[in-house]
Amino acid sequence: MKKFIIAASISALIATSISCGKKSSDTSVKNITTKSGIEMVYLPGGEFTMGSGNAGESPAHKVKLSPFYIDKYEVTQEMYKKLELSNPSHFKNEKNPAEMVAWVNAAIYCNERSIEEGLTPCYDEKTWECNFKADGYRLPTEAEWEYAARAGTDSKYFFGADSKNIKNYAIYSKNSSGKPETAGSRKPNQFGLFDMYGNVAEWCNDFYTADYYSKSPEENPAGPAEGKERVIRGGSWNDGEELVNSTARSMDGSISDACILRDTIGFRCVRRAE
Amino acid sequence: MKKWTACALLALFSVIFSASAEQYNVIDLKSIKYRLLYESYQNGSWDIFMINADGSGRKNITDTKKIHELYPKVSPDGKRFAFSIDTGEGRERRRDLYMMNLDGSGKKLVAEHGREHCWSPDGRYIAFTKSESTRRFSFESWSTKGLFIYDTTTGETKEHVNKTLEHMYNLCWSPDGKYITATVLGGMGYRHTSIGIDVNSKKYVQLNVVGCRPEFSPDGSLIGWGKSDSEFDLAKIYMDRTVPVAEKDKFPFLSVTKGYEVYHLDWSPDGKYIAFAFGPDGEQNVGGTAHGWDICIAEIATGKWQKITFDGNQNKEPDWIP
Repeated sequence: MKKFIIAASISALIATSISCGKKSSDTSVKNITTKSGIEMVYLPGGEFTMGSGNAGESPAHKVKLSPFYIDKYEVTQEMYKKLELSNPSHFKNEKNPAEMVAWVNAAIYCNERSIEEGLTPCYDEKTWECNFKADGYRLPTEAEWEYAARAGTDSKYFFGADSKNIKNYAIYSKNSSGKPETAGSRKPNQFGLFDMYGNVAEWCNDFYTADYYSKSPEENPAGPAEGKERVIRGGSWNDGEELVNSTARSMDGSISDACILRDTIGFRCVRRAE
Repeated sequence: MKKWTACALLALFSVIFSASAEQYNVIDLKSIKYRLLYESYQNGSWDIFMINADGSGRKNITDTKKIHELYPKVSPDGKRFAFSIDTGEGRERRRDLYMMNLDGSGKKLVAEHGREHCWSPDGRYIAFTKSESTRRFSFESWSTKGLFIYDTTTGETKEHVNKTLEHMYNLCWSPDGKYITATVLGGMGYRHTSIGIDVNSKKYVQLNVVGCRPEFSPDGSLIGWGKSDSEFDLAKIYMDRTVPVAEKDKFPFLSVTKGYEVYHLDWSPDGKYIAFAFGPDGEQNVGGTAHGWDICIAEIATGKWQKITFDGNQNKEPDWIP
């Protein structure tokens, strides 16, 4: 009964606090399965406060997002195999998230998955520019990632203030066995998304600059126009509380260089819903 | 040769060579009797060029407009070379392995989807890997599967006895013919390492070098590799030991300023020089975009180096002609 009340409260929270969908059916979080059998979650568009007062995450600012679909799980090695793409992972296990993924290879995966499902690829593979109007898969913007991770909450963690609870929701430095684990092996957040914290840190589409929050647009911010690093979010099996949360920002330069790939970085995909 | 190598090592012990800026006319290039092949992107396609060590006499020896010739590796007798041919573009691109005579005649397919090849020291065999995915093309060097040996005498190809080999690139056959070295990324339980594979058994061993693309010196006593994007290291190597490269035997050889890269080290046939590609941040993979890259030569004994091409036309993968 207690579980039911919590779930009902969350649904009510989601239904009431997240709005802007044009149709009434668009205002609730929904699970879907894509043509190629991948589980995603539909997130209605809405407003939230992004960032915090902490250094590197400030200023906290209002962001308004359009609805989008996001993968329920981090992209696994099995999903790579289905598309017959080279799996760069250090820790081979089909049920684990793919890691050692350079940003461009994450973008290539998105394009291949789009082609597989008859959608228009978002990434230009010569310039790596993202066409946000295309209906295919892409990496989440940093704002989309944080919105999905927060799942309607306004605290550092989606499960409340006590960091001791991280172990129930994340594979991170204090409970991992020195490597990633099966995708979805911990509890999901209130949107039903697994491993938003830990397991592998997740690439976002945005270039990284430390001061972006002070000048980002309010509606659908998509990151700086250029940069040398891309944003990663959520921390990994090798990171502690400082990165394994909804607001901590991080970045990496392994855009295309195989020599500096990390076995702590993977990704999940999103797709526009309008 | 061994005497000369010992002298070079003594020099290496006493001096740490480094180069933080381009240098000109610091080596007597005209005294180097060898020529080189390299890949270059000009007029919309990749071709293979031949050049004298002093930068003179450059000649396009493939000269095709719609297909890309890349990654030349010259046979030990200096008469033929094996190379990659890329056809198609984007995800439809494919890479196959060919060989031909240095004069451009006798082109022959060695293996469909073959890549990252090298010659056996007796010139009879070509070792190569294959593209891991034939669904879509990947520029990634590590996107490979298996190790195969092509017999140039019979035209037959056999897969190496170890069928678990994957994600290897930059194959290099040891001068004694017993081992093939390669860098591995995300394969065989490794994150990123370089290994030596026994040609005739399933055994392989980590070389104990951090970085990538190891290359044997002509006498097999030394190995050179890219410690990072901007550094080459050298070391004594003993393939019969459990750890072929000991920490005490490693020497920094060459480094360049941050923002620039050095890749594709190749020893001259007399072991006195190293040819390599140098340029601003770019893609080191075969056929990768590397604007401003040029071919350079470094002298082992002094650490001095200089460019021998200056057009910056993505000049990479130099290979000496014996």
